[in-house]
Amino acid sequence: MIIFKNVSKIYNDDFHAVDTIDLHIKEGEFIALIGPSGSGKSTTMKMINRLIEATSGTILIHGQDIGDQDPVLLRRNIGYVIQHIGLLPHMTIGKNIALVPNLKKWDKARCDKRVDELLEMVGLPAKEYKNRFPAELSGGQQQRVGVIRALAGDPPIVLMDEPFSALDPISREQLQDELLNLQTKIRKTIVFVTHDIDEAIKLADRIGIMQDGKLIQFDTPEQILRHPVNEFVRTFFGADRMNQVESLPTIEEVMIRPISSFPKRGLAESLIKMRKYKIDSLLVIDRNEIFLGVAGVGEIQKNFSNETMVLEDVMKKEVPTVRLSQQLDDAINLISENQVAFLPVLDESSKLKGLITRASLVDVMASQLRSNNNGVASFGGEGS
Amino acid sequence: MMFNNFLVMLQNRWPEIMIGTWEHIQLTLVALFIGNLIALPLGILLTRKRNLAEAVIGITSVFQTIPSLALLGFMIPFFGIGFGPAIVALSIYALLPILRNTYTGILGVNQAVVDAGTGMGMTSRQVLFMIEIPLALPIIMAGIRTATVMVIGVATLAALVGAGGLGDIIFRGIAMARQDLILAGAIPAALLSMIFDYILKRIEIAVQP
Amino acid sequence: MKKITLLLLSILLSMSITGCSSFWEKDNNTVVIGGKNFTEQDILVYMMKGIIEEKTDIKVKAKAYLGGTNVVSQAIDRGDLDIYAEYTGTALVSVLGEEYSPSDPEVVYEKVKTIYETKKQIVWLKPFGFNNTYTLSMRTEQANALGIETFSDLAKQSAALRLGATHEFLERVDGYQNVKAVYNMQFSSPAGMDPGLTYTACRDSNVDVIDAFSTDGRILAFNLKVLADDKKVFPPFYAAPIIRADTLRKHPEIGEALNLLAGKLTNEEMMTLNAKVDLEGKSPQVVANEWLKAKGLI
Repeated sequence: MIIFKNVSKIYNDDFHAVDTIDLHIKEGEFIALIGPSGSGKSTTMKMINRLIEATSGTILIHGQDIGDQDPVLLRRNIGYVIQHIGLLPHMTIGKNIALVPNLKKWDKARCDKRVDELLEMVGLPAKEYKNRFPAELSGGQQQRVGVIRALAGDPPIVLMDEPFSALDPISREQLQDELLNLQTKIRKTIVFVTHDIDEAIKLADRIGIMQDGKLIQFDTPEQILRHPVNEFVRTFFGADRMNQVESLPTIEEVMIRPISSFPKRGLAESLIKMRKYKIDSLLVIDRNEIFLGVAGVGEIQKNFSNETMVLEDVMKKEVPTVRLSQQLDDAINLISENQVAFLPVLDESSKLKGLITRASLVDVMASQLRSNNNGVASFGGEGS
Repeated sequence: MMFNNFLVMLQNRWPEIMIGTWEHIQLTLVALFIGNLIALPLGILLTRKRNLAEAVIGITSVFQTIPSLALLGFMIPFFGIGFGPAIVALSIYALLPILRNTYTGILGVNQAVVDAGTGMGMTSRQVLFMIEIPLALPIIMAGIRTATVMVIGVATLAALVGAGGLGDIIFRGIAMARQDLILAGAIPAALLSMIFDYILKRIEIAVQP
Repeated sequence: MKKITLLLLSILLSMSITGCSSFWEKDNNTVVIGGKNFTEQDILVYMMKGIIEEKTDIKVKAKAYLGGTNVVSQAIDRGDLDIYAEYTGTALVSVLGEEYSPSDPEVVYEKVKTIYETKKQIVWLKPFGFNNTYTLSMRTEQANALGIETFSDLAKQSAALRLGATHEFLERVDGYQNVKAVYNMQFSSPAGMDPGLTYTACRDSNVDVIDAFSTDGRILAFNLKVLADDKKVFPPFYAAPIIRADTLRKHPEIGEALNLLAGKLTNEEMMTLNAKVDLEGKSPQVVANEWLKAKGLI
């Protein structure tokens, strides 16, 4: 979809803003570029719509060299959201959103329809907001408009330059959630520049880490966290984590992959599986991953002689579970209150997402203690 | 009694005052037209060639510092006397406020908005006409209003080079030490200033979103 | 153009003179000579200064370029000035506010001399000789081509000619208003302008007829022609030194010295001297002293 081949941006004073970057962004992928200021992340992004021209190398979009294209026409097919929102203060919200469609000379009916549709998509009723001016909207609302304005011309690619950094934390969270939600529907190729690691991890499919104009690691958040290529990446991510020592890790960070089985499985088959994984319980889910219950090794052995019985006959349905959106505190309390060894982690539609065990909690606590001697002392005592 | 005399004088001089006012309006409008014609495009051009801006605005500022009488006099060898030199001098006076406000007005437009426009695929002409000029308009109009009020004032001096206008009545008054005559020229000039300023203000409000 | 700026300056100056006379401290052996704000007066100031200092032991303080007639005449009344050069016509009409009816120069001179001595205790000495009157002037070439010699000749053809004049001339009842009425002038729309511009405007054919002073150096230099005021609309403006009577009583030698200048300056001569200052850029003081030497007066 977007391919950088040996791309550099060198200024006259021999400053290498971007240094021989190779980058391959797939269609529909959400990419975050992150790095300290001056690392070249923004420059890299702006070379995609030629707001900054590369001094050497090639950038291809859909296999075509963008250097051969009219930058104005190129930009009309690439959505662009900037940090300071950049709504035109003298135009109504409707006119702002319809800007690119108008530049593309869509007819009026099509523009109007598109504006209404986009406004509804971000929960701003078109009737109410279309004819207002940007100054009449809150910062969060303005940036929602900024985002949908970038989508208005239905571009396959959207560039976002620290779009949420100027917002207050609550609006920022909301807009991040909405953007994720929107992305599942629209599946654009998004290049998102940020200096906020949490934001990058939350939003991006893959993260490109930049330093001194070089792309030093480009991978999924998980892989970067697990296998930072060098000390810089480790400290860059670690340093940011330090800011959060006051809060516990999230449930998602603590949970492990569950061993699950389906309700119609036989008991013998299940025992073998448990033996193989050295576990004493199986989580039972249906074909849609909806959590149904827990089958313990004791129940299975008690009924083992009855060959007609399957897992759903022996499983316990009433077991404490924790939601993905809950805090780790809640999980710890549930485990100690109910005297259980583990908690299945479910999402909002009761799908099984993971498992928190006493053992996994201890692991996390131990690593927190290693990275920070005092930050987690308070909850270290509670786990026992 | 004095007031009565003043009224009688006004009555006698009415055609003269009307002619003077009309000449004054002509001087002002033509000078402003020429001033705008030069300063607006030049101001826009300077925002595109910023390395020239300091020099060009510097030169116009120097013109501004030349006493208006001297500037009028300076024109005579080149343009003779009458309407011509007056228009040239007045136009030069109108340049600076319009030029400076156009330049700073456009430069002062929030860069984020300009970036957004460019990034969305506006041509530089579209950025200029759809973003920069509309947003700089209040400042540009303020420059035009300043220039107008100034030109109306300086235009009274045009009477010294035979260009007529309300200055004619004022200078006759000065020559004869007659306060009433001076007022008969000065009051319409002041009224003109206020009326022009008001009209421009209305225009400014009308064209703003 | 310089004149316009100086005109404004002199207005300021005149305010300061009338406002605080103590500014002009003088001792017993010093007299103050003032001058109006134009070149001819400058030259006369320095001529009078030159001859007094040559012939007497009195020190002279020259206050040239003070302001208009109002300023200098008030200054001499108050005693801030002892001497300045006044014109008979100006004294009669502007200072004394008398009516002028067409009459001979000597009559006018005697009339103002008498009134000044009785009413103002100011003495008119003998005239310098030239008559710097208001007049109308044209390019010589054009005047000759059209056969215009006098105001009456001009009036007949005035509808086709352009008049450029100072605002003062156009406004004065005894100026253009009177000329227009007496000669039945037909100029369509006279253009008002700065006094410094009229001669140039005429030379450059921006206008055809201008108001002029008959001793202005530019008349000679620009090859202009002075038209004859055949109906004597304008009073005669013979210039003469005037002096406060008390000063003259104290220093009668000043009167004798100044009378040495009597009749020594013709119109042409004054015109030439004016031109030396206005057009050649010489200083009035230098011109005055050169003339005094040339005449063998110093």
